Amino acid sequence: MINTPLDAPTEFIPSAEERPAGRWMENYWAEIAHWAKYFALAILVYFGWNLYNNFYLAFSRADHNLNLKFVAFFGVFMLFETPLVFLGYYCLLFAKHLERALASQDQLILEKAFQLLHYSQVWALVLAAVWVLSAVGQWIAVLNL
Amino acid sequence: MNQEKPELEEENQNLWLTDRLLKKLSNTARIGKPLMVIYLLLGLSTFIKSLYFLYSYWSEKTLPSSEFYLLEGGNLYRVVSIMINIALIYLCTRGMLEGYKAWSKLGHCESNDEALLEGSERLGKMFRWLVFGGGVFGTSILLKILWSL
Repeated sequence: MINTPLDAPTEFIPSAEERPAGRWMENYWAEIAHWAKYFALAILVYFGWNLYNNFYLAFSRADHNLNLKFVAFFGVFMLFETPLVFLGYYCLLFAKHLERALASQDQLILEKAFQLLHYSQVWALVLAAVWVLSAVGQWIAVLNL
Repeated sequence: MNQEKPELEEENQNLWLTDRLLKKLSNTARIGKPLMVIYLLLGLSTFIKSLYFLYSYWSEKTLPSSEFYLLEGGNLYRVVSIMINIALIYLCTRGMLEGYKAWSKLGHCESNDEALLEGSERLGKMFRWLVFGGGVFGTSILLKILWSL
């Protein structure tokens, strides 16, 4: 096993034409990380509230048996809420990685952070698709089509 | 040789605008732009629907007598709720517009430094407006809980 000092450089070696990001970009990334973290936490708190609201209250009103209706309700809830959890999770990971990259000046973590932002966008797209289905269903009900 | 190595290590302890990083940023722009448009439309749809429900509720309640009292029948809660909804749609729309502009700029970040800087600045603003929107949404949930007590 090789002992590596904590301040050892990463595997990253810049090519001749590549440039340092500079103080301005790092300040913008710090701003993004700060607010993205709060955004992710807001999403996860909203998920927690939804979980409490839908399950705890529904279960406390039921006869404490997991009947078919409850399981079906659970399935629909998970269909709608799973993309939300993943969106919050990847957004939080993005913010954390960006903060770590700035603190340790680690290029590989920085690149991974933006990969995680891409994953969170994919989950946001899945959530949007589910929300579109839900919105269409609700408008059909409202307009009595 | 021994003197060069620490210099190289120090040089590598920076964050760099590598081609790979810029490629990842422009990849996020590809999804980000349509995503902002979809969420903007969904937000507007939800807002219009809540206005419709409010209108139908009040038209049923007030039309027979043509009387409206703010402090009766939960009207105060509904008025406050609609004001919160307006604030929410404003903040989220600001967020989505900043996001759309951010990703429009970041789409050209591989060849344009100004676009990279402006796109990154606007991305931070997008998250900030969305957090404010989340705060207002949380307030509306708290209001609902307090009203139901």
